[in-house]
Amino acid sequence: MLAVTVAFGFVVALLAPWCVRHVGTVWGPRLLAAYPLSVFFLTLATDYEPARVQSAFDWVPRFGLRWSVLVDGWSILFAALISGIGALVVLYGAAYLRHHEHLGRFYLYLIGFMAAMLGVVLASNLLLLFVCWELTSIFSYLLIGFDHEDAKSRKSALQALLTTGVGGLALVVAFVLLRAEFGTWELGEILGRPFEWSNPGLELGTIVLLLAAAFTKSAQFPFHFWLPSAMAAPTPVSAYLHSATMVKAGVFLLARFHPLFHEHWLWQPALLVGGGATMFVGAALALPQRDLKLLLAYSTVSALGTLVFLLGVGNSEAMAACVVFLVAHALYKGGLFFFAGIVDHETGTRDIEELGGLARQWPALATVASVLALSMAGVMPLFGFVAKELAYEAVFHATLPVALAWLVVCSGLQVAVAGFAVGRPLFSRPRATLAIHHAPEWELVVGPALLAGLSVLIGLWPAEGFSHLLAAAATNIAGQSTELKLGVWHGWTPVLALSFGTVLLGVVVFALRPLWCGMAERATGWKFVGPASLYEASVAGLARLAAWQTRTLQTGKLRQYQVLVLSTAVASVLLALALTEGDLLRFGWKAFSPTEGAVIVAMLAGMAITIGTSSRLTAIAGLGVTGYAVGIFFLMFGAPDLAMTQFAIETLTVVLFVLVLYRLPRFESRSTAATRVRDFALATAVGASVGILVLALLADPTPSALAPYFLAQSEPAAHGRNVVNVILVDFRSLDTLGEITVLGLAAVGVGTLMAMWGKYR
Amino acid sequence: MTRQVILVLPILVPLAAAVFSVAASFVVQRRVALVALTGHLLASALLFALVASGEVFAVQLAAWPAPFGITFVADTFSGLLLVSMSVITWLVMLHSTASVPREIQRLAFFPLVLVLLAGVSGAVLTGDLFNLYVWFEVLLMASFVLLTLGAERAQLEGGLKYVALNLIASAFFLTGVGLLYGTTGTLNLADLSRQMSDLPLSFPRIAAVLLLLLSFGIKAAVFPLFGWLPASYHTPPAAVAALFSALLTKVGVYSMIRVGTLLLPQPPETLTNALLAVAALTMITGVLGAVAQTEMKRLLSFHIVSQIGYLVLGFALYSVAGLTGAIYFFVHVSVAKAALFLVAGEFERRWQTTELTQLGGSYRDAPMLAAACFAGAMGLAGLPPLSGFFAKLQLVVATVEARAFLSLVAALSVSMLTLFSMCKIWAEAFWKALPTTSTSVAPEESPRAMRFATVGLASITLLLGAFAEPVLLVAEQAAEQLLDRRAYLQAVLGGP
Repeated sequence: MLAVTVAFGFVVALLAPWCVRHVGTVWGPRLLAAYPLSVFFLTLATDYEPARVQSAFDWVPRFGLRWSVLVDGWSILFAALISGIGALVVLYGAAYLRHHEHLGRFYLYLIGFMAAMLGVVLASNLLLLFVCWELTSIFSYLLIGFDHEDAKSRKSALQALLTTGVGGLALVVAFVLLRAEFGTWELGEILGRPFEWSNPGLELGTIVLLLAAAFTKSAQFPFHFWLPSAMAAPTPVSAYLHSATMVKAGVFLLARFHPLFHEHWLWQPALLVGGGATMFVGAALALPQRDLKLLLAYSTVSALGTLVFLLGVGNSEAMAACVVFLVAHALYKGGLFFFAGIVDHETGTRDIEELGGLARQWPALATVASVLALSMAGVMPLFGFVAKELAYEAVFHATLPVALAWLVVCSGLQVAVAGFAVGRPLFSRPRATLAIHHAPEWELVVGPALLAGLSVLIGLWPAEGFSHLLAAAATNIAGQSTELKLGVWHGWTPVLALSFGTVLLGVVVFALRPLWCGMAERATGWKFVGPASLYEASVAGLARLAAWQTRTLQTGKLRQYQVLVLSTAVASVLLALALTEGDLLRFGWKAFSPTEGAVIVAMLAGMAITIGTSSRLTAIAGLGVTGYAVGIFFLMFGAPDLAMTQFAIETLTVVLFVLVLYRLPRFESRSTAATRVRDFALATAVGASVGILVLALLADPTPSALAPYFLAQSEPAAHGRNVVNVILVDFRSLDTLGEITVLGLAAVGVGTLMAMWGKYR
Repeated sequence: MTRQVILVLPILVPLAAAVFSVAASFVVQRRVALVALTGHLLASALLFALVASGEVFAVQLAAWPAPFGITFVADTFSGLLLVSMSVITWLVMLHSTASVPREIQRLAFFPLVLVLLAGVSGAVLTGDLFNLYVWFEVLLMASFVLLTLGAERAQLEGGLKYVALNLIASAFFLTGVGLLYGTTGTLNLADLSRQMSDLPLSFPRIAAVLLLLLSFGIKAAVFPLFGWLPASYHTPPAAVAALFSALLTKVGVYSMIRVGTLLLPQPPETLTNALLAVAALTMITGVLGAVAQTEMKRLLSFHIVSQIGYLVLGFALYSVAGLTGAIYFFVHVSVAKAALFLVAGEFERRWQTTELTQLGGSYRDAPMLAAACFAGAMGLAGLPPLSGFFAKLQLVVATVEARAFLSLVAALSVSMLTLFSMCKIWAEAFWKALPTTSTSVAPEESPRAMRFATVGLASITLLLGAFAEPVLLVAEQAAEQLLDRRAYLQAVLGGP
């Protein structure tokens, strides 16, 4: 059922432009929202225990590519988030982009993305997972570049696509290796049993590739730079893809494979360090931002780092904290992006230095945004607080004091970011310069209001079923049974003190904003060491390399191409020598008769004249001499027809050449001495290669069965006495037909060139 | 008997139509061509239906028994290729009726295309080495004339390089044929195959095979022999380039695979390693060449080279998995590349330019074209669920199986660069606003024939992805036949 739902999503996506055009820009999107809503209720109704695999149909059985889903707490939780927030985004997008000319395409991409993302989290088949993974990258590309006439959007879209694309390649290789090792593509089978790797190198390789895929997709340091750039997308897209869902795909993947790899020496340290670095870099870079969306983007990077960091801590409590924090973050960050979009939509700016006093204008929205920000800051009794408490507790119990301190500092920075993002626009003094176009429509506000409401509700009265789902998800990714008790009050514990300390730290950091902005100003000179500049440099380097290579290889000079081709021919003959079995070189020398010798001398003389002369006419005459000498050879070895043909062609060629030469400019040699030497050497090498081949051929002539057959059959079966003629018109008549066609084509070609004669007169 | 007729129809139908219409007016020629192409398509489809079951069959022309006369052979490989080439030619011709300028259509354009198709069919179906040479000459001459139709200065310049390098290829081809005839006494491919496995691999024999591969390599435009292709393919109308990319270089690779597997069933490892290196270098140099371009037809021409590298990779692995990948890739890349050239053709016709810096705004103005281009471009880059994904996945599986990890790295990196350069087309021609300095004219309405052809080919890349399974199975059967040889030899020579 769920597998079909995913596939059905792509159909809905294809119908979206039609729906928007014909049902209208108001009711079309509302109709489209029915898809994520129904998926949402379907996931709520799905029984996720025990974990099981459902197959819908085989797509490409050759590769084992099957449309199968793995239903367990972890996938159902994600599917619920994707479809639930997806429904809100579909509604929000309608109001946000109502008058946009490409609204239909927007929904095509958005719903397409939704289906792909559902595919990523639900797929049991690794290949299906990969297909959907890449599709999310493609839709993300199309959505980041949605404002397509803006050069910055296009650049950001490409940056995101290439960065996640590299990860995609790593992922497919990792999956191929997993398949080679486990003999199956089904996640359900891979995860479900204890396993001993046949080769430690293979395991290490798989882990590194998986990490690369997840780190690029989930914007982990040092690949984090694409995510802030991706803010060029319309805000509903940022809320959905680049905060709540797609960027969590990497975390999803890491958690999925956690039970398989958590005992490997590299796994947890890599996650702990990578996640820890990202957590700090994101939060620190967020501090000096002025753009509301950039603030939120960097804080998202930090939150993604926290999730990976918690996976790196690795005990079952940390797993539970990771699950809870994931949901809490999706709720408040999605809501805050909605808020940023509203501010941008109604005031035309997202610069927090220009915003202020909005609380007085929109009290309801202000309440909603404040709740979301407080949840982000981890203030009691909101859901964000519950999540943070659990995280602290997990790290505390894992006895990793440095990690705990690190987490507290980063959380403190996040508190300040929440203040910048919501506190300043809402509560700082009102700005006279700020023009407020109109009050937000209800469709814009309903989304963040719902998310804020959930943040409160879950914090205060966590439903039994919800806790159970989270516990099941944690159990799935921890690989062992995990308890989870959601609650605001855990008594007077050290962790509670840390929570208070965090908020206090946040307030201090908030107050010191000028300091952060100043530091950022001074650091601009150091931008060139960042990974973003590395990306820029590699793109520029690629362009330079490509230009250089094209200049060198594709010079436009026929002579160079000929040199390449002929050198390769010589190399092939040398390679043939290296590959020869048995006697290397056996030459069939034969003595010349005096007549033969004379003809050879004539041939050589013709050649020498052709090379040595500086007159075209003489060169042609020299070629003619060589050609005639070849004809004489044909005559001497019993092929008079061939000789006649050769003489005729030589004569014609010389005549034609002379006619053409009459019209050509003066002959000048522009080659340098060095090129002449090179050309001479190459020509000699080619001639020598063919020469030794002919000599080698003479060494062991193999009698052919063809000639006796032709002689024997020519008269009785083909009724002709001239065997050569019979070969041409009967035994191998098709060759003759082909050659006649070639002549006909040549005639047509000459005709078409003549028809264009006037052009160059 | 009927089957034997079907085997020669793909050559006879277009050739006869060309001969009988060459003197007619171009309107008549066009109609005759579309009828003949439909006939060719039907004949190829019938042929494919006959070989799809795994059977190989041959016809001895003029009833001279093999190896004395000329033999035609059809197996799964040739059947699949013929039918895919026929479909592409049909659609490209439909496109060209609208996209190729009238004054070029008047210059015997349609008969020339018919002869080209006859030549391709002959080269694919023949079981005789010298006859293959003859069909190559037909191809060369027909394509040379097509390339220079209109006689623009750039066309003549490109045409000169084209014909000069291809004549060198012919010379080496002929040398190889002569050496093989001298050392085995036969020209029949099946007979040659048998002789080559019985006789020791002496210097002239192995050199002959290498010279043949060299000659096919020039025709297929592999590194470092591809100079002629980017020098000439961008000069004729885009529809002609589409045709060339689907037929000409592909016949080069086809012959490489056919002759290579028949004449060297157990190739020395040095040779396959050399071929793997050639494949990797072809991919890399081709795609880097493309990255440096800003004109669509030039860019796509370099991509032809790059994609040929993947085909050679599949061949060089000399395994069922590798050849399966190459054969599926064959079908995929012919379709996707032709689709992209047709997109370029639409720009050429409607905007009067294919220079990316001069284009823009077509995301708004031409949504169908945008969709077709996106499908073709992403398909070429190998993104799922399009045809290129399955083609590359099969090659990845084959390289991992063969432990050819360097080739794997090359293939994957080139995928990335292909994506990069496809995005350039997309961002410049479609997303970007039309530059104010652009000299391109306001687009006219897209003729229906042109749109049908472009969207048709792009849809085929989608279908090849959605229904990858049956095509892959056919490709695998073809690969098994190529490596096994027994059915081929038996069909031609009889006996066990």
